[in-house]
Amino acid sequence: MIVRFLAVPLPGAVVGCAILFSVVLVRGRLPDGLKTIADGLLRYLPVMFVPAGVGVMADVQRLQDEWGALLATLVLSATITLAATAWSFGAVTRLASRWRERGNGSV
Amino acid sequence: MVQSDAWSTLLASPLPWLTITVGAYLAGQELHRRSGGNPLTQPVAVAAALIVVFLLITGYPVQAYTQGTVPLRFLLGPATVALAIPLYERRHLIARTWLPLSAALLVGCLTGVLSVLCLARLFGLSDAMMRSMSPKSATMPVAMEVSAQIGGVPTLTMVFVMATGVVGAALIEPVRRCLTGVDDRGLGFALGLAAHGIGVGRAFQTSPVAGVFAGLAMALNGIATALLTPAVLALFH
Repeated sequence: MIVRFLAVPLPGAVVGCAILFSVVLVRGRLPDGLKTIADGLLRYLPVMFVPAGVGVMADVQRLQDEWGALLATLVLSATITLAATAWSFGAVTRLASRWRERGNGSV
Repeated sequence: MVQSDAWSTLLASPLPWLTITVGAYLAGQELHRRSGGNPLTQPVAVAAALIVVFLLITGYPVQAYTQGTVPLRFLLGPATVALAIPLYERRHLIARTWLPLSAALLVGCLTGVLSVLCLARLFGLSDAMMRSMSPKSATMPVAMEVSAQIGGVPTLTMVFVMATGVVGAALIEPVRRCLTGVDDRGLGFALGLAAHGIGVGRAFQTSPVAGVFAGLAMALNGIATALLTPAVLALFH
């Protein structure tokens, strides 16, 4: 609803996630009931994907048609993403600690 | 092969389909445990395969099953909102390492989406496939929502998300060997960002530190992917 109102191209649930995060952050503590519900939902999250997995049956043909290009894109993209993330995390960590040693900047 | 009226009445209501789904998932989980956590025996994939076989044997159409499990799909929204809770619990960790976290998040998220767009063009993938694959590194509920929003096919996205998790978890070791100066935190962050839940599981096998950073990366990248993917896609075209 908020998404429609603001006309931002975002999934409503992600906005909900951000709102919930801000609310608990402002309140400074987590209500017990909320934690129980969240833990329960997240523990059984995979079950919710089973129907979508079955729904793939209908798309098998399309996957078969392009499987080579799909696989190549997926594997290469995963490799590049892993490497770029791990590398940038390490590089910025080193950069930050070097700044701190020099004493300029309060990172 | 649909025989009696009693059965058809029963299977028109969601309850049996939900029972079958949960049962198949438990079977998948058991197999996953017995295989020693082999990433190829993802409980979701095993459960879906079991149900596909069940539908083929009984002759029920996929549509009957999809309609019967609508209640499960309603839970996906609240589950995505619930991701805020683990994020909140790690707020101190976020505050301590915010600089490398945000840098790696931005780099990783953009690389994840852009690499799909570029490679898809290179390999001549169809537009629908490219759109469905672009949010593949995000956690499943987010990826499926983003996919629907940018004109992808959510069920295809699910396949790509699952495959990315398995591939990412398998590839992290060779990638780590090629890079220098990657500690457990960076390793975990990369796994969680690129390979979501399956990557988090893999990171916990390396060390608890890697696991915590992986969980953090997964939640953050869910949000980043939802924010950035539509924009990146718009700019790319």
